[in-house]
Amino acid sequence: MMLEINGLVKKYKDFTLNCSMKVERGCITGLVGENGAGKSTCFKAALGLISYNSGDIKLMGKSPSELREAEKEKIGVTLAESGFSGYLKVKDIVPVMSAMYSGFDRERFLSLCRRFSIPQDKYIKEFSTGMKAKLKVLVAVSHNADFLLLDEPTTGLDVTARESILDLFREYMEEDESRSILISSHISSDLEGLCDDIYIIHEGKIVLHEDMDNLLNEYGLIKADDGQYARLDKEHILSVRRTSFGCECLTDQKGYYRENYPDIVVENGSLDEAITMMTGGERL
Amino acid sequence: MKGLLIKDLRLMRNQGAVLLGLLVIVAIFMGLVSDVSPSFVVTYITIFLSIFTATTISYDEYDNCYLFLMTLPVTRKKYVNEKYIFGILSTLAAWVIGIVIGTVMLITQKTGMPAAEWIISSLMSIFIADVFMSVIMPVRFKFDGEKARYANIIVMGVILAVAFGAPKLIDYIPEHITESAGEFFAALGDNGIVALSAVIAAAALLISYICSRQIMAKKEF
Repeated sequence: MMLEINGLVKKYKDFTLNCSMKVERGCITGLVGENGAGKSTCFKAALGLISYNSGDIKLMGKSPSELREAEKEKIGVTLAESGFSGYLKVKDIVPVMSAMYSGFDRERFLSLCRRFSIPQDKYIKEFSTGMKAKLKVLVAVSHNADFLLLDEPTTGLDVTARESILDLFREYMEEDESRSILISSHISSDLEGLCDDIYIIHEGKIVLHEDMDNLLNEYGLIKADDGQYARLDKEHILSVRRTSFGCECLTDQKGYYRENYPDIVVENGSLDEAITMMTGGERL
Repeated sequence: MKGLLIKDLRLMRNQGAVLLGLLVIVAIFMGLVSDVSPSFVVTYITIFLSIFTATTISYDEYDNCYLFLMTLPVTRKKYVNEKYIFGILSTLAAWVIGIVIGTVMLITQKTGMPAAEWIISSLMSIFIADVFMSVIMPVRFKFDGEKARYANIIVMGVILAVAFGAPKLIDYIPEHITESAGEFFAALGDNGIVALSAVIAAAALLISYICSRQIMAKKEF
């Protein structure tokens, strides 16, 4: 197990995070939720950047307060609103990384910088949002880490750049099958094609955990009018939302409803639908 | 820790070089147009550069970089250690530069200052810079961003108030105390005063370091 969070509670004045999750070895796990849902707080707690009220966190077998240089060398991190100082240039970062990580691959880093058009001799503060985002990812994947913790790594990137960064994560996983990634995003299409399993977080709570394949293949959206809804078996309904024509129901057994209710429309599920329904609908 | 030192050296090379250049030009200019003493030049350059160390903490804070730095193979303890080592090294470097300029001024101005007095005044300047750094560092660790700016102004204000206020306060202290204090310092002699200052500077640095460690250990990012 790369990361295990059990009953983590972190209380702020106007927000409480209450979450349990895990990232298995060899897996890409996604964490999705709207802004302010608690994604970054989860990352900060796992990395020992903030204290927490209760719960148990193990990152590569160690609690956050026990993380030392040796463990930190084995992780690569991008954070939503943080990176190297804007007063440094890429050419300043190279010797810093070499000194910090025994596994830092200078050549790979520099070739990735060329591939992603990151200039060496320019202050980071002068970079565009996209360039900053790319640089953060390149730093995280260039030191042979076992586990990447990526908080919103694709924010600020255009579609093409997003795809190439996601490809980079796939390459990273192909190089060594025991590696893992925890990635958060509020762009669900990024995660759909990348993750093995997904957590949906809403107002500080995990509202759904599911295998991505399962979600895409088994989940469905039932569109029923009031009469149809009344006679619907609610056994496999996860969430219901009222609409102008009746209601929409999220199910994790679309086959069952298609078979038993041929007159009711059951659309294929998507991560977007799951998020909308689990965060906006009434959970059953 | 080596990585952090490289980072700060690079930051200093990019940003501090301009500051140092400016300080040297101002120092030389002052030496040429006015008759400031070489000791003033040493103190001035050393103190300004010692304050720059605290500024590198601001650079780490810029864009919330602190957070990211703590995810690198760096512990909070090592981060504090590095800042103090970098602070001591940069202060020493500035001091040496100040002494070189001061010595050149001393020779060209032909003030006839005895060598012993010159060495003592130079030593005192590094002790003062050390105390400055000792006060500023924990304050910078404690407060971020906007708060840090106010905290810095307050610290500067307090230091200036003490520097200007202390001599005036002496008038209000009963004569027998000032007299015995005078006797005490006279008995110490120049060497004794330098030794006492060194002890005070070292103690200030140690207390400051312990405070910074405590502050950093509890910091929420």
